[in-house]
Amino acid sequence: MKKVLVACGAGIATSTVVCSKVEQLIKDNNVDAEIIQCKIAEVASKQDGADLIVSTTILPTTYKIPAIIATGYITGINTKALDQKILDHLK
Amino acid sequence: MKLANYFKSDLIFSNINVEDRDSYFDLVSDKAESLGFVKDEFKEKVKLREVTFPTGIQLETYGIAIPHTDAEYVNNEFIAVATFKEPVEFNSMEDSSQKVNVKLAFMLGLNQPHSQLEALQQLMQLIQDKDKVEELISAKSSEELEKILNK
Repeated sequence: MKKVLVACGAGIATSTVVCSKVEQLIKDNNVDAEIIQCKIAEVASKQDGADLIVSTTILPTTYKIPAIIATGYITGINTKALDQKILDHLK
Repeated sequence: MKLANYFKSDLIFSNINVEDRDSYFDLVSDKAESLGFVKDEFKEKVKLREVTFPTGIQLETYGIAIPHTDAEYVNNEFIAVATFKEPVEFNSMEDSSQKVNVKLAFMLGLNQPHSQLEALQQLMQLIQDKDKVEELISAKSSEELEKILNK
């Protein structure tokens, strides 16, 4: 099973919305993945064992695993492309 | 809980005249603190967080900001709404080197991580609704602004 970290600055607002989008996305596409919501500051310590970072905020550092900026889910702009990008990483 | 439950009449500000982002943070945080919604550290924390993790969102034709900070500084949940007489400069959430000119800001006072999904989804829908946003920005008074928000 794949593991996705969904992060925002405080782990409280935008990541909540993005978490539900990603949950729906993986459900609709029958992807076997677990989603963990966290603060971006926690990502560095949680990246081991995870496959992908989906963030709504700027990345303060570089990570060992791929990271996708997902502000499109907040603005509603280009969400289809974003969906595909996330799915591609979880294939 | 629905989005409308988070709006408080005393925390709706129409057409405020602020010099910059920090003056806006001062004005709204001071009011929220005086009403007991936030702890005294809230103001500095929300400013600091905006520097590290900006919350400006550039939509197609307008800019929005959703400043917020950690749950521990919020006593009672609220969403404070402000429109600006002159656009206030924020940095972009996805790229802090990009500026966003903001006419409408929602300060989120949330203290229950992961639990306000419904309200947050409604808020994200609201900021994407160009007609509604234009209506909010052109409201002449906080009463009118509140009426449009609760419509």
